[in-house]
Amino acid sequence: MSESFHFQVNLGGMLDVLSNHLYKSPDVFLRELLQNGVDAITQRRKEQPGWDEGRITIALAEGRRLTFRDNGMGLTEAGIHRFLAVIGQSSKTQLQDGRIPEDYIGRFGIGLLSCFMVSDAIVVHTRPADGGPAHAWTGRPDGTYTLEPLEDCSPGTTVILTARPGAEHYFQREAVEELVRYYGLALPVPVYFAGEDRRLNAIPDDFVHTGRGQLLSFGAWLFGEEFLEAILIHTPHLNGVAFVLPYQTDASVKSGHRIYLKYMLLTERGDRLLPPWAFFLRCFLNTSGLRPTASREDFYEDGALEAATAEFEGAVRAHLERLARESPDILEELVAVHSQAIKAMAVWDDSLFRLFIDHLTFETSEGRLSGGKLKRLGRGEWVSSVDRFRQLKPIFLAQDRLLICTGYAFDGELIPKLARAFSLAIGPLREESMDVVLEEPTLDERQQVFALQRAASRALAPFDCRAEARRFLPAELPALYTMSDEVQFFRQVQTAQDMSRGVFSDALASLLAGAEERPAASLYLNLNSRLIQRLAQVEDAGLLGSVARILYVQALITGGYALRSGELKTMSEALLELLDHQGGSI
Amino acid sequence: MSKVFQGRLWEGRIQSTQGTAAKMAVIQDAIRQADQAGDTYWRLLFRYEYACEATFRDDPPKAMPVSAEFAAIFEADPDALGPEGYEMYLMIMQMGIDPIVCLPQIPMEQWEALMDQFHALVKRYRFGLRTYWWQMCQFYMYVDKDKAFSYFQKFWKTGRDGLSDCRACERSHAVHMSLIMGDRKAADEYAKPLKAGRTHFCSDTPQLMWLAYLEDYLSRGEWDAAAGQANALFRKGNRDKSDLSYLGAVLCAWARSDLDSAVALAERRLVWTLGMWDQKKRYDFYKGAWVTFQALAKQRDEVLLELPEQFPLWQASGRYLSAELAGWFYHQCSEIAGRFDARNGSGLFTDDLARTKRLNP
Repeated sequence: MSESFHFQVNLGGMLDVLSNHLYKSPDVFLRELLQNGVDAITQRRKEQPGWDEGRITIALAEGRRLTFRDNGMGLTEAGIHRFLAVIGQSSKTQLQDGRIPEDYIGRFGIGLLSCFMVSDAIVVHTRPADGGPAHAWTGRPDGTYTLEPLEDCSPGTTVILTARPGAEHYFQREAVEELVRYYGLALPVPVYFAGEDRRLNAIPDDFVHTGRGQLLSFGAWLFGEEFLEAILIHTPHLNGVAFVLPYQTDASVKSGHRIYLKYMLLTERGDRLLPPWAFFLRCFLNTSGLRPTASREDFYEDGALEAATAEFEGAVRAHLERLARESPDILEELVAVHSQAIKAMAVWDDSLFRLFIDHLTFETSEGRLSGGKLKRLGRGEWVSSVDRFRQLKPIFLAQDRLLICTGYAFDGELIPKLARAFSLAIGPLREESMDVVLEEPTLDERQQVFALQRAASRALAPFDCRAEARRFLPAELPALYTMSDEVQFFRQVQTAQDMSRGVFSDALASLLAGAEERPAASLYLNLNSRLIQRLAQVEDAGLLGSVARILYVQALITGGYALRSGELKTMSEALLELLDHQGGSI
Repeated sequence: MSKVFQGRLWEGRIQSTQGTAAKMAVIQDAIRQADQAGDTYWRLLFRYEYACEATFRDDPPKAMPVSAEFAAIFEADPDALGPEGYEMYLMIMQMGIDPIVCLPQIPMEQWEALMDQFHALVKRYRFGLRTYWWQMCQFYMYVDKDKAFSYFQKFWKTGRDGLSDCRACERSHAVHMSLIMGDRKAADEYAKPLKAGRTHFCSDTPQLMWLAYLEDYLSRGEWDAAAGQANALFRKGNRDKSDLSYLGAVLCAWARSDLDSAVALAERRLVWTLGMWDQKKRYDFYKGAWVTFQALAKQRDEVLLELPEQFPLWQASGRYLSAELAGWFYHQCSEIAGRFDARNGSGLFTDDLARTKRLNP
């Protein structure tokens, strides 16, 4: 028959797990103390209906000792053995059919251990509020504890911590006050320093009836920012305010919020709860009905979290729609600062798209134009590559044609959506349109430039580039180099091959060799240019090849492309060839 | 007097640029400027940023050229990034080598030679051994499952270091490996802390774990479980080109549970595959699109879609034959699968395609 044994748990190892892997910082010990204190007071309120004097008091011997007291339910001797001495056992986890009641914050029964991150011993004095003897419990990190009867103790629980070397900072008044505000600002239980009347965690009780000005003042006090707007969030899972930042932020910024679960700070990060476009907001939110992860540093992903996210989206959208009707000036300001976030919303939400599209701006050959202006212009073409837009912009500008760049986030979806929604003659730049922009020469003209075009194509073949004669504006531009994203990547790989040796170079060669078709770039020779017109009269193929290589490198430089070593070399060689020609031919 | 290169200004421009394509264009400009200024620190740093952007948000093979350049620059001036610079060196080498798994045109011997080079760096710096085993495992997943599993065991036994993936990703890899080996019980064990939320997630988890389960449900014909998993995966795995594998699996599931959404998704995201170097991602997405349009062909012959102009079957009218689309996507999958199997000396891709065909007649 098999025998069963108990695991031996190395508490020191557990503490390492807690401090290095579960909790981000030792300062969570205060969050855990607050959480236990509030839960004990909640329990006493339930068991003693009508009692409403719950409070938490903190006494400090600066830098040395912290005494944390709640006047909640307290523990009996049996409760001490059961809950303080067994890791993973919480006094709150066995209530109501195995489900934790909504008004309790904690659930995992490991929170008190976090105090070992700042103190070598945890002393707990506790007396049950419904009568019975008081006890003093002392736990140590080696897993041992002592229990003694205690005479002088009023109902509730007191936790006494003594600073470990290196943790004195957490026992300073300023740090404790900051942590109480940080973690417990929204707690429904008042927190005081012993002997003082000033409540450390006071905030407005009800935001629903709070005016815009007051909300903005609250935001300024809480986050230290002069926000543009305050959006009230009051839904089944959420209660609080979303503040609109007064400056542009990056979509990758997910932190900076204050998100509470049942009035206790859970996280500063909004990526689980808030939609991805919410980066232009700083939120103060209390949530209910959501589940925390074990580390209590984020939300568990489930249907309730999804519902809460949808509620948030709905509340923000409703507010923005109201602004559009009632305060368009505020909306204008908001759009000007946060166009990226609004574009992100407008991609997916048709009502927001129609609401905002006139105000959103896009990069075009005529500078930044709003959606409203594009609607009035009614026609244009778009390119999805930023590089290609840069190449073509001066040509479109010179020809009075509108080119829109859709290479930036969301523009690639919004511009086609704009064209569809308002039946505009705005579409992608097709190759046949390029024939209009870069006008094909007549047959006679082609005959005239045949020698130049052929010599140039031959000279540029080693660079995977073809020469083509076209007529375009501006006339001052003798040649235009264009390449697709694919050609650009080919150039990059070739440059890397130049720099690297050995196996990496071989792998890069294989990468290119595997491409189904080797793409070629184009060098357009401008028949409107006087230089090209003069070159068309030259018959010396060698000379034309040299000039073509110079034009090629010049066009690369004009287009802002990085030159490969071979290209620099060819430029030097071509210049020398020209000098050897003793001038005068051109 | 030489002018000091304003790397921080470029860094600011990069950070404030929205959108992967635009950001990569700015980083390229920054690389160019740093090269011209000859500032080694920023030449390396911008290349590293470019590799990260390509790997995590765009097309991973685009990290290869900058990784090769980084290696050459770093080897010439190993102190340019300070004492911890080797960590960045190994990270970018990993980003440069990993995509080879997804590029059937690069022969196995070249991959092996690069892995030898990487292993030499691991030994030189005593850093990254766990990652090395994981790379070996990852490659062999498509070559020889048993060999991959033996590398996985080495990976799991080796201690973590700064080059290791996040814990949640590593657990997702373990789930994936277990499911590949047909051991769902072991997968569930590895998945427990992830499912209970007892670990920090990065931006790629829990999607990686969900994908592993979704592919397993799909391969066993567990359609209800697949539909539920696909819905969850779509919500978090529809951000940019790097999510194409997630979307391919979602399409396979939705083709049965929500065909309208599958067609809309295939239409909207097809543009991400065009010009994509990563053949594995193309294969995954095209497989989903094939299953989708094959299912559609049973309901309607024609469909109106707004597909990108570069798509080879593009029609100005927007009118497409469902069966023709299905046929095109299947042909692409079949070609890619053949090229992978020829390079890898295995039949895993072809088998996968045949199984999918059997389950979606």
